Amino acid sequence: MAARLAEKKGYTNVKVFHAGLPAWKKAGLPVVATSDFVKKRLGYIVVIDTRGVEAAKKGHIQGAVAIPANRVIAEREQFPLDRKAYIVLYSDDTNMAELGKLAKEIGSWGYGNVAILQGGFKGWQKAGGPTQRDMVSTKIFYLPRPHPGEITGDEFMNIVRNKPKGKLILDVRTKAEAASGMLPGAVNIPVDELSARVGELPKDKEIVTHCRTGLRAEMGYNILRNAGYNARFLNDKVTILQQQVFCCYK
Amino acid sequence: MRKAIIKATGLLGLALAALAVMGLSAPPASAKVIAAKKCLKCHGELKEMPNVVAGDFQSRSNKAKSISVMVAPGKNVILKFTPQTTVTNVPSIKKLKKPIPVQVSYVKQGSDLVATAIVAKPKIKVPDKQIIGVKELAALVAKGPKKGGYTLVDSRPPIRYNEGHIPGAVMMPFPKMPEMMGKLPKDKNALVIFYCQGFR
Repeated sequence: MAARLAEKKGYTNVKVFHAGLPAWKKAGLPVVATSDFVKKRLGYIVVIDTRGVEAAKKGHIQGAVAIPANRVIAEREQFPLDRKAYIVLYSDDTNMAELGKLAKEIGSWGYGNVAILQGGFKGWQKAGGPTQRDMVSTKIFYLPRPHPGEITGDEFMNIVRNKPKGKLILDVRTKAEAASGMLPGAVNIPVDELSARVGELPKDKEIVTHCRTGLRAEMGYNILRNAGYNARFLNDKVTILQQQVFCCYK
Repeated sequence: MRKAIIKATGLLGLALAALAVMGLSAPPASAKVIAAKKCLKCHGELKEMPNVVAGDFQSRSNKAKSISVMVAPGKNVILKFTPQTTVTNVPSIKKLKKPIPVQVSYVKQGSDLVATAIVAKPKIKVPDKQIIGVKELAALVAKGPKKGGYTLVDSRPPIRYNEGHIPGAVMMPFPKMPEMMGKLPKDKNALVIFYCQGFR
C-alpha cells in the first residue's frame, strides 16, 4: 500500500520487503530499539549494559544490569524464564557489529524480543533518559508488565491459597477437564457455556478466570467484561495433578 | 449534610440503574455496529450490516469452538464457530493467525453469537520484480543507507518502530505517509524499500 502511494508520487525504483520484520528476526538479523521505547518500558524490560561494571559506575541507564559483552553468553542461566521478555542491549553507541552477534545468540535461546539500543548510552543521554551512577547491579531482575485484565501468577496463587472473600476463581475449562481436578474453591463454567450462564455468577465479587493455557481464560474474561462483570484473567498455564496445583510456567 | 449524602447515593443509584439498563440493552449482539474504527475507515458499508463483527482476529479455542475478534483496544468479541461456518481467503479456521483483520457474519442463538461466515482480509499482491528478499536487504543494510544507496521505510505504527526496527530504517507509519513524504529522497529514481509486519 505504502509502495503504491510512493509510486503515485513519482518514485520509480520502489521495492517491497514483503516478508517484513518477522522474517528479518527469524533470519537472526538484529533490530534496534529507540530510547523512547526503553524510557516508557523501564522497569518492565531487561536492559543490559555490555560495557561492564567499571564503565557503568560512571553512569548507566537506570535499572540496567551490567554484564560485559564477553560475559553475556556465559550468563545465560540468569536470563528470565519468560521468553516474551524484552531484552535491550547497549554499549557506548549503537555498535551493531558486536551487539548484533550477542542479540542473535540470545534470540537463538528462544527470546523473540531482543533489540540493540539505537545510539547506545550516548544516545540515551542525549534523549534525556534517566541514569544512575551507584548501585550497579550485576543480576538480571525481570518483572513482566501485566496487560489490561491480566493477573500475575503470584497474585493468582495468593487467591488460590488464601481464598479472599471478594474474589472468585472461575475455571472455564470443559467439564471433562474440570472433572479430573479443580482448584480449591473454584467454580467451573466452560467458556462455551459462559455467555448463557453468566447470570449464575455474583456481581459483587471480582472474578478471576483460568484455563489450561490462558487462551480460553482471556475469552472468558472478555465475555464477563462485556456482560458488565468485574473480572481479570490468568494468562498462564495451570495443571492440577492429584490435588496439587502447578501454575505459571509459561 | 445528610441531604447531600442522600442526594449523592440517589445519584449513584441512578447511575447504577443506567449502567444496568445499558448492560441489558447493549450486549455485543445488539443491532449496534461492532467494528473496529480502522475497519470502518475503508468499509463504511459495515455500518449498514447489523450482524457483522469486523476487527483483528485474536485467538481461537478448539475446545470452546470459539474465536475472539478485537474491535477496540481491550475490547474483544467472542464468537462461536460450527462445522457450517465458512471461511474465505484462508484455507481453514485453523489458518487464521493473529493479526489478520476479519469480517465475521453471525446469527444470535440465545446469548451466543454464532459465526456463519468468516472473511479474512485478502493478501495484497506485489509484483515479483518488486519484492526484495531477506538476504538482499541484509546485504544492503550492512552497507548502510548512504553506501547502499537506498532509503528503507518502516510503515508500521510508531510503537512497533520504537520497540524494534531494521537498523537504518526511517519511521513513516502508513496513515501518516502523505504528510511525511519529505522523508523520502528528493531523487525520484532512488531506491526506496518499504516493509511492515509482513505477509501472513
